[in-house]
Amino acid sequence: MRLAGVTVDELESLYRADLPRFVRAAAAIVGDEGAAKDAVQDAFAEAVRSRAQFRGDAPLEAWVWRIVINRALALRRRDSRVPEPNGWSPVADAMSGLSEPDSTVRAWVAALPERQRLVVFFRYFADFDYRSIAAALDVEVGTVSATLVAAHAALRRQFLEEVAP
Amino acid sequence: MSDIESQIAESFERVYPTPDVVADWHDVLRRSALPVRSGERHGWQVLPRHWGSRRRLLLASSALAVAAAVALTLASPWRGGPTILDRAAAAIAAPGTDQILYASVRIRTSLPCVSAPPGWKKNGWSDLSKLKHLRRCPDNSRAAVWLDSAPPHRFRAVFVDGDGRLESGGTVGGPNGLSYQPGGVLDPVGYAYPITLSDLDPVGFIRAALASGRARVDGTATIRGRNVVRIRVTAHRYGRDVTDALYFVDAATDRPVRIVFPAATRDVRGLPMINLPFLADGTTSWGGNLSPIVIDFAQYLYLAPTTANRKLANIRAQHPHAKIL
Repeated sequence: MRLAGVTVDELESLYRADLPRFVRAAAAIVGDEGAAKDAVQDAFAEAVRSRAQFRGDAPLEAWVWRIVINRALALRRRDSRVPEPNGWSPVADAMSGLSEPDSTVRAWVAALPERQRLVVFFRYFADFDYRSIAAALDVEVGTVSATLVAAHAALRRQFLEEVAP
Repeated sequence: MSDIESQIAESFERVYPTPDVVADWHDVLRRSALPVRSGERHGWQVLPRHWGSRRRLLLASSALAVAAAVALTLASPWRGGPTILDRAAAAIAAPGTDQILYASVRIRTSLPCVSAPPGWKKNGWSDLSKLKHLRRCPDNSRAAVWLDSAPPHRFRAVFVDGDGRLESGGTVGGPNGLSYQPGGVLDPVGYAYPITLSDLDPVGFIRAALASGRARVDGTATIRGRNVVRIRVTAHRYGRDVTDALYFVDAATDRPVRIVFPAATRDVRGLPMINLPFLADGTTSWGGNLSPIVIDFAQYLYLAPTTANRKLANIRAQHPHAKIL
């Protein structure tokens, strides 16, 4: 009988269904795919251990994402040998126009405060709605909305300054 | 989506490509300190036998992944004419393609609905005995469905919204299903009509709709920075053709991205995913929606036909100790 919590089967299902996305996201934080895989494995192990604590008042996916992101951030902070995450560090590439916006957008995102980066990250990496982002980051939905608006404003400013004629 | 949002979404896809990683759930369980001896039962988890043969397992997983990819490719009916359709149908029907469909979706609508007060939840689960006669509010909710493509085609669906969590399951074609209730009870529910594969499998649905001429490719669009193909599903009513659904698939992978049911959609029988919020209480008819309903796919996957994955589509296996009323 299960009144609350999540089953190991459900976690395994999510793991098997979404592993590449989790590793991809973790790699963007820790800067290395091997370390990212390690972080994801540890995160799911933690989810298995604490599965009874899942209350079901937010999507399971968001709950696990939160664990994965926290694990990746902890790994980045703890291990000084881990290089600056790929994509978060400013890049020197000169922008060559909208046809090759990747490095430019990376630099813009890298320049955002951490909370804004994380919200942008959840929005575009995990394709989360505001409620799921709020659950994953343990903040209010209004905070997510305001943070995303601020991030978009900052990015739009960069866009207008650097791209628009 | 604004210019900057589109750029970010597209850029993220290119800058951070999806890595090619091999799943190792055994390692997760080992790290979690759960014992992982062969065949041992851990709560709801039964580990496969012969786990020591990891190399074989990896090879088998790779083969299954390739098979799933091939099946997905073949099951892309909008790619061509009858030949492709025939191949898709054959691929689905052939032995060895008995994967378990797993789809998770987000449902959005401004449909007016009755929302249950918070007190009607028990430990995060909705109390069906009190919710039974209420129409669930699908606004900004999430749902997931597991469908076993092998007979008897068991399915299980979980629906989560602000009022709690509902879970139900049954077999395709059956007039009844089971709904899980807090307290470890599986409550039989009668469906307004037997659930069909089309109700649960959007690819199966669109394949049949294209084959029958009910659906046609209608153009292209961009959703969250992704290029998609738009397919229009129509029905002949009131002396004219009306749109029942707009179905969007990724232009590169052919996977379902979004389904939009216009406000005019009346008969929802056989339309995919739209009834997920109502399976648990057996109310499998909207009676006509008053505002558009948008269903976005977060995941659409074919899981390998393992015992553990098969159990995901079986509500009784998920609640082995639950009492059936």
